[in-house]
Amino acid sequence: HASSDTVTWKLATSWSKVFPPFTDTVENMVTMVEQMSGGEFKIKIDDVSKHKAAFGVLDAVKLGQYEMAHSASYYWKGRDPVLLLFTTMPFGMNALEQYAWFYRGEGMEWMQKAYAKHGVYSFPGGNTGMQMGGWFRKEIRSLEDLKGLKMRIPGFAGEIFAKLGCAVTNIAPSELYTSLERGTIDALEWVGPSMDMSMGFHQIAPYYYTGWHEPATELQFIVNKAKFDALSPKNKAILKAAMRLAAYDMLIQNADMNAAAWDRMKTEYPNIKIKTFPKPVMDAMRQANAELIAEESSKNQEFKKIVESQRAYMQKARAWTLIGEYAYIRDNQ
Amino acid sequence: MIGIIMFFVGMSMLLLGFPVAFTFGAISVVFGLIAGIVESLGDGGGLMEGLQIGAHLFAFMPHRIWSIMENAILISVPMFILMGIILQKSRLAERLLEAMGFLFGEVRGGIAISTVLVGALLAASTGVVGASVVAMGVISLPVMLKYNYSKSLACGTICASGTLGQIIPPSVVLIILGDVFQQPVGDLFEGALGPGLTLVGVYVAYIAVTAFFNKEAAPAIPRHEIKESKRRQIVSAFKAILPPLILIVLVLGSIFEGIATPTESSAVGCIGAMVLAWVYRSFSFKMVQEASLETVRATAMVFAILIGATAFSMVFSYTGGDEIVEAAMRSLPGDKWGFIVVSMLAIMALGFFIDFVEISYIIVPILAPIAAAIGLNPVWYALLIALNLQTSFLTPPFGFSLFFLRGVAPSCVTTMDIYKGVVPFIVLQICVMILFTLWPELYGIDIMLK
Amino acid sequence: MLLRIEKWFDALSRMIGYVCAFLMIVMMLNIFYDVCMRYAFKSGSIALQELEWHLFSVIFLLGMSYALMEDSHVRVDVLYAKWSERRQAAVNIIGAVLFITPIALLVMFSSLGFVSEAYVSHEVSSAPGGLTQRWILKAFIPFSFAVLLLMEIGFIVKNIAVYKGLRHANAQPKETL
Ligand code: NA
Ligand code: NA
Repeated sequence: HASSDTVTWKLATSWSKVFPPFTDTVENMVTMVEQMSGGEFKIKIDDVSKHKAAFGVLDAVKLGQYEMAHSASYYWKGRDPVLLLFTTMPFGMNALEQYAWFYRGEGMEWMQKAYAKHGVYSFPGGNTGMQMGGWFRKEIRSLEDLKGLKMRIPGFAGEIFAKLGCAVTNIAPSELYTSLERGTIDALEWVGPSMDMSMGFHQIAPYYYTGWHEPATELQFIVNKAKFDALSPKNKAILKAAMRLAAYDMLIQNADMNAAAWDRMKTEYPNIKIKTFPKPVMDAMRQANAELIAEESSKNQEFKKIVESQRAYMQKARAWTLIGEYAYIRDNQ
Repeated sequence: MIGIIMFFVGMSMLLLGFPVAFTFGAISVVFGLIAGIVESLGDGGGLMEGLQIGAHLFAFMPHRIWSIMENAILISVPMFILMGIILQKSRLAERLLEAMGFLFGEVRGGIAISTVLVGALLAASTGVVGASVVAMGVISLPVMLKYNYSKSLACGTICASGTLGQIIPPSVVLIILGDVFQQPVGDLFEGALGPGLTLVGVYVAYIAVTAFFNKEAAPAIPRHEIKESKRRQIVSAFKAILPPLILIVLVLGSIFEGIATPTESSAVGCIGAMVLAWVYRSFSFKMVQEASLETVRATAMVFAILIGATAFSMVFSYTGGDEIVEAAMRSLPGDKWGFIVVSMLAIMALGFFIDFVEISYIIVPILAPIAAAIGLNPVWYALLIALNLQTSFLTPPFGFSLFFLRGVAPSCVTTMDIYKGVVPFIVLQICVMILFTLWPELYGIDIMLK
Repeated sequence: MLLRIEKWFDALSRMIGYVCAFLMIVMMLNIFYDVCMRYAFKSGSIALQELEWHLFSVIFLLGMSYALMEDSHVRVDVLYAKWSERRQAAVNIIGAVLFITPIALLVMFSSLGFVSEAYVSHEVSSAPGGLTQRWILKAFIPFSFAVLLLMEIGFIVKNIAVYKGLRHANAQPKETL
């Protein structure tokens, strides 16, 4: 029944059913592919409730169970530390700078090289933009306040907090609100207003800290190498264009959702206080971050080279950001 | 369509009586391979290719098993079972029954009412049904029979009081439903308290009313047969209740107050149960070892079903079974009510033959996303399912409670006595379900998500 | 002869049971210790928190085989309970061969790649300060199903003995839940 010029793919996401803007991004991409191909290239989406393996999608794509996936690169940090670098880095580039690194700098090249080891291609899959530093029940005035603080914060930033004396814990997302409300934890990190709003953290933890640890979280489209190579040139072009456009759209959607959600939050809960970590805390975090990166770099040549590429690019790009966007915003408050 | 056939073949294969976990596993293999062959033939491929496609489907199994392993919430299942078994071995039920058995004895229906209250206390201190039913069957049943209680009323009271363990927190059913619905277990525990206590009240009221109108059903104990004075009785009842009450407050309190997660509380509860056993002078390493072995078997039984069920639902959804069910469920008349009524009737019907673990892991995962799509409050819907599963413990021919009571009841009690006895309690439970559906605000909960 | 083989399998299964029971107590103490550390001393070790579910996983994976030998797996016994011991034993023998073998083999072989992947890439926990050597825990998936296959033989032997009338099925009570 399948004529030779129609292609039907399956895509596994790492998200549970409705999780905008992540899930919207996937649906946008799939719709665009189908429309651009005149219905000849179809992609069916399976979410976690179907395949039950949120973090198994890389293997699934590698083995060809799914032709592609939508996920986040840092989920596989435990297996391959360099993959962490394609999501975002504490004190790293912002979204625009990072996209420039991906598409105009060496980013894409490094990413394909890293993912080739896993038999897949990887493409930017949408950016959240600046993420917030988390919800705290108590204000953090000094490094001392972090000692013994019970916080849920995964990944690399968690390691930094652990280095500063926090009791970092793992708690399932479904238990987060209750845990924060009842003091099982004192603080947690999620995304930003757009996605924090529905979790309700703003109702129970008044201090909302500004971001430093995930300035430009990029999601990933992962595509099975052999399956991608077997696509017609036309379908390849369609898929790449759709992924890129959907990713760009996510940055826009999230900017919009953040603005709307923040507006609602501060109207409904005027007590929310936006805070920035005091300078000694920030300095200690920067120090811990540098140490952790140096530690991994000394063990892993590839990690070291990618970090260097990012640093060099950021230095160049940031100089311009400061003259451009930053100066404009600073001088026109 | 393959998925739907698979479902019915699976359900009928269960009747062979081979362990449910492996039956599900086997059915999923057979239908996975069939689905592969159908797909291959449809694409113009051969039989071998089809078998390969089918086998390939199972490459996802290690990931699915891994996600069960990583699920820290489920750790509280073995911990609450262990806590229950330790309490059982410290003869908590026996102590409570002996101390409270005669407390209301002079009133008609008094022993039965005492039994319900002990059942409620046991329910709040463990998540295990079997132990309560067995203990009450061994101790309460002979007493009620001796004082000429109607056999069916005595049996029904014991079975129903035993099942309270699964609705009054802590409860294994609620933990499992919390996992399936991705809802905080603590919220389900808190939410279940209202309906659970309502059941206790309704049982007591039913017994009192029956005893009042039917003098034969539950006669009072003659005054001269009660040897202890009322005061002595109250004191000894108080003494028996106090230690488990402290444990209950410790465990449930720490969950409700958020001092600890359910998993943490369950481990603390185990330690507490051991201390209680030590207070009762029944603590020994041998006892801990036996309790632990028993827990391993019960845990393995539950999680083997979970593994079998995950294979089953993998193939079921791969073959599009869930889409067919979802389409059918969403096209029911009566908006949300059609779905609520049909899903509850389906669960109740299945509850006659299979038990709560299979229903929770095979049926509920199909219903949960539909409920979410309709906008039903997941906590409310999960609690309604918990109340429904409660009934499955009581419905013949396969009901855990009936099974355990049959095992310990004296031979003068027929299986029919037990079946007849549970009928009014099943009706009462259905009434509470309806109450919880029509007036959820009584329990401070909404049907729809705001 | 049959009964001697059965004895050997029983001993092995009991050993697995004792190991799991021991780990159960260790897990309980592990969780208790973590709670105490967190609330009394305001410190927490992610490695110890991860150890909790590592122990839990090993317990239920290996426990499956022990539960099989102890006949603790839940059955729908509407009909089964009414059948003769011989007929029950026949169901068990045929069921073991046809129902357990395929799924166990499929899970075992499909998880080998899963484990070797973790081994080759030196996979560690992605949580800060989490446990390393993740392949060991992952290896328990194929290992536990291999043990299940082995115990399936014991289960079959046991039921052949019942079928031949060499001994009675021990009518143990079902696990309490
Ligand atoms: Na309970
Ligand atoms: Na039933």
